[in-house]
Amino acid sequence: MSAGSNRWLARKVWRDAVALGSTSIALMVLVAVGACLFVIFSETRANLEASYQGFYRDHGFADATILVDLAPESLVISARQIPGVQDAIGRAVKDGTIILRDRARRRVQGRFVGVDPRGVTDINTLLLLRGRPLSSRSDCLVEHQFARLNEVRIGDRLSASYLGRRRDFRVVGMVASPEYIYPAPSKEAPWASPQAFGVVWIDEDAARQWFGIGRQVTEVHVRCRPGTALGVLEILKGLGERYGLRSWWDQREQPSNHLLSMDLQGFQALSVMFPVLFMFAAALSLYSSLTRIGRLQTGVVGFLRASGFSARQVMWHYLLQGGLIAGAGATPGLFIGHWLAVLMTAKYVSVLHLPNAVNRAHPDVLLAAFSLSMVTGLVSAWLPARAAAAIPPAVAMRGDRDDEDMTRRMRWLLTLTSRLPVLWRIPLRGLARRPSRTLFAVGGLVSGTSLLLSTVGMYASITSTIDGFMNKTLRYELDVAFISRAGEPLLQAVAETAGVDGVYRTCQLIARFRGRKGSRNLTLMGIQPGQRSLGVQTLDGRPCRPAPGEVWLPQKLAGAIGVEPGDAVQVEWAFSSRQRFVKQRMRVAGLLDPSLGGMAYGNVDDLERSFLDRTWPDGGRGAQIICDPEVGKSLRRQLERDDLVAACISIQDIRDEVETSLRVTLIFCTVLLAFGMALAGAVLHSVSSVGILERLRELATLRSLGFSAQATALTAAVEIYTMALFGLLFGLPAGTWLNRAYLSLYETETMSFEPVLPLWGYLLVTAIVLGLVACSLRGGLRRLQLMDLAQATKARE
Amino acid sequence: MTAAADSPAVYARGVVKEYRLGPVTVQALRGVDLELRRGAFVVMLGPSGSGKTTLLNLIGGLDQPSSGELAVMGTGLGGLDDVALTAYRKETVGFVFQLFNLVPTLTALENVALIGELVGDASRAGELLASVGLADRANQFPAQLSGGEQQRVAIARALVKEPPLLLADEPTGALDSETGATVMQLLWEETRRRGVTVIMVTHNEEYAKVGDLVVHLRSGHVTDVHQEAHPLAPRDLAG
Repeated sequence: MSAGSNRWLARKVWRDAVALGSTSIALMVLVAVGACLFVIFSETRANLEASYQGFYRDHGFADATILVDLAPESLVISARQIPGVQDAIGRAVKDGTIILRDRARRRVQGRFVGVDPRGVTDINTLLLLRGRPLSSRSDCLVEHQFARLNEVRIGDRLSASYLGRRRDFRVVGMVASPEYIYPAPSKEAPWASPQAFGVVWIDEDAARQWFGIGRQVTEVHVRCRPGTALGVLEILKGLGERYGLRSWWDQREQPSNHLLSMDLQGFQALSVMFPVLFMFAAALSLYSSLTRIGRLQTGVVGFLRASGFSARQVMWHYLLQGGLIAGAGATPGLFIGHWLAVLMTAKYVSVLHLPNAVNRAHPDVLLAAFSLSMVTGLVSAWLPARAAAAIPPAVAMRGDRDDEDMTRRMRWLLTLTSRLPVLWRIPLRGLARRPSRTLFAVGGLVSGTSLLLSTVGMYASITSTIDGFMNKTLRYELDVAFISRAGEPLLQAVAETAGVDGVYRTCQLIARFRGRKGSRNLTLMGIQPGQRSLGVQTLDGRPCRPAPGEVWLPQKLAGAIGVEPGDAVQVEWAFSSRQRFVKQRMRVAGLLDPSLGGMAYGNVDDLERSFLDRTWPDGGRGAQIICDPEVGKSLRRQLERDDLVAACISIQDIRDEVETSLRVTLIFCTVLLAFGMALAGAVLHSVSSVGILERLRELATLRSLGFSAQATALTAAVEIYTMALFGLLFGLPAGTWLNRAYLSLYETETMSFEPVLPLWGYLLVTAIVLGLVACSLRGGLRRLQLMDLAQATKARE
Repeated sequence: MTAAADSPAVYARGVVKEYRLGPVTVQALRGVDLELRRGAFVVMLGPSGSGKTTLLNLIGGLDQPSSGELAVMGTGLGGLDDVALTAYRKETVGFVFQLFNLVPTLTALENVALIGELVGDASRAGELLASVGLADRANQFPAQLSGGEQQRVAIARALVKEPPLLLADEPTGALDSETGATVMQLLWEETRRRGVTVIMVTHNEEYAKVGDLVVHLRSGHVTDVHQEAHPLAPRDLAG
């Protein structure tokens, strides 16, 4: 066949797509959204990963790190001699309290890092965003996110307290560090608000003098040759054991990088999960539409074959139709996706203040998205195209295909539906008439429904977990941390204050739990039996009442270290100081629900006796105060003036932070909900328009024979509603599973979201889907109303 | 809707039907005057584009005249709304289509019962099906029936509601000549036996011999109405 005739066939492909009208547009939208989502998440992930890696490379992000209580500088020399190590540094780092006095007046958790002001090291170097480098012992540099959120400016005074020893510093610059792209305090308790956790870099000598540790170090960071980091870390850990090894990590486990990696993992999952749903729905809808075109054009196929076009040419012709729709959908999807990825990356890096961030198009991602779309289009067109090409020319010329198969398939429905009114039998059997179309349409609806439900579930699970944490777990008004046990007498005065309903001593330490299968670090909190300020619950919902010698562990952590209730677990205080590594065997009393803020719990008096009292300094003590919010405000002001208080956080602070993060979650879920509705809507639109188009003659005949418009519309609607019900039937369980799968991505040993799907979630999604059915039917029913009965009764089926 | 028993089956005066095709207005019927008596077997003949199907559609209430007066069984069809037209079709008209138009997902019996239910009596569906010789094919789906069988089901379906008027648009047009003749005979016999007025549109000049009345149309006009004194039964037609 000549190129000329192929040109005309190509024109026919275009015209057929145009003739499908809104159905074509709906299909293109599905492909476009699928491609768009793939590009958004994949490019944003690639941009962020490249940005992080670039920043790490330029600022010598350490490959391995150990934290020790105190070690001589010779540990650094030993570290440099480990095979594979390129360079090593030792630093003096201590946690204490930052007292802000200029604009914001508050006490917050601080980390003070001693650095060489000459900047001779190439490991974990700082990027000066504003101001100047350190030049005197009273200068300090502040982590930029903390500075921004607390309105700290260059020239401000900043007081710092470490074990009751105060130092005043002048803020001379704002910096970003590869260790604190996301300011995570520790591997064990990584979550902290950037507003409530500040990192301050000061002169190395000034730091050592202030901490009273002479020439000793508390951290060793090394850069290694590629592929040697894990081996080096093991040797480093061995060296560090002698000096009270507190914690360790390679780049992957580094607290800030670990949180960022979780984010990237989320993007990766989203870049697969959502595009797959949309492409799947697009494929199903495209299949059913092209099947319809193929059936409508049986006579045309006969003509083409009779005129000398080969079966292969006919097949390519219809394949091209799928390709055209996929290509036409993918192209705007790629552009919009890239544009949104640029915006999303820009937003992200502006929050993290990543310098020289990568924000560009990724041809491999764009090519993959386009290929994915084209494969979707061509694969979904392949069956209808093959079917069209396989019709014998003589049969095709007659214009109707043999429907023998259909009647065989429908036999079993005959008895099942024979008791129904005849008008109901028609649509119900219509489902069996084209089983693959029905199956694919239901499949598309299952995708849409599951996306909608998992989105609702995601929001419900996050809010429910947070609500549970805020309302059931945190029942105090103020949480106070003392710099030492000397602060505890303050509690007596607090307890006597009018409006205070309860004061409970607490203590916290980062402990290492060693079981049969290994060890993990986790925050261990001491509480009193019957403590009303904290509603910690066991797995079966009972209040946790720790007795001396007992420890309650989060379920996941217990599994990770291989202990069960009744087992003994070795608890080591990894963060004690003065080289006293306290070890204690305790009995696992029971397991806890590891929702937000997962911690281990023990008896406060027991933990003080076993750990805190046996070391110096004796920090880690605190209290929770139950009182009226107004009383709480006044108490807070008083407590923050006292140097024995390290930090004081009100429940309102936590609520404000939660609300901020929930706003972002809500926006995210709303966008996903919109995508889910677009998905289900597009599928339903194509299903209903094709369904009505396909049965136009049948419906017109019913009208001609005297059935009312309502009765005829009913038969059309019943088929679509039945498909929607099947979509819901399978989509709701699929959505429930998807919700669990998505939330499990964010599950760690210390945090998990309980997958929650309340009844209102199911009802809402059902209402949305049924509402979308009603909307999608409007167009088809309008077509029914306006159809020319005389013409439609003569239309080919 | 009123239907005087002595009124003609079809009464048309100056019936005009215009269609707009883009900027062009096409006159399918250009002032048709016609009066058809009740109980007659009317054959409507004419070349393509003569307006015969258009006239049939107007009589069937599938479409409405642009102007003129049209009454069927004493019911004026001009200006009827959709609800009234639906009721008219339900009570007055039976249709037999060229392409049979059976509901593919219903069996032969159910196709007939469908219309029986519509008028409140589906019990006669089996009887009707038997009367067209398809009692043993009652539970077959349309796709399992031959063209002739499908058209016989369509005739049973049209007759089950005992309409006073049956409209058939090229009822043998999709059938081979032998099957067409059989179907024609059945249609002729069953409608005669029941005293149903039939208006049949056809291209086949031969069928003019079976009509009591033969209406010729050309270019939207009725050119001739011929009364056949001794109509033949379809089986007696040559060839």
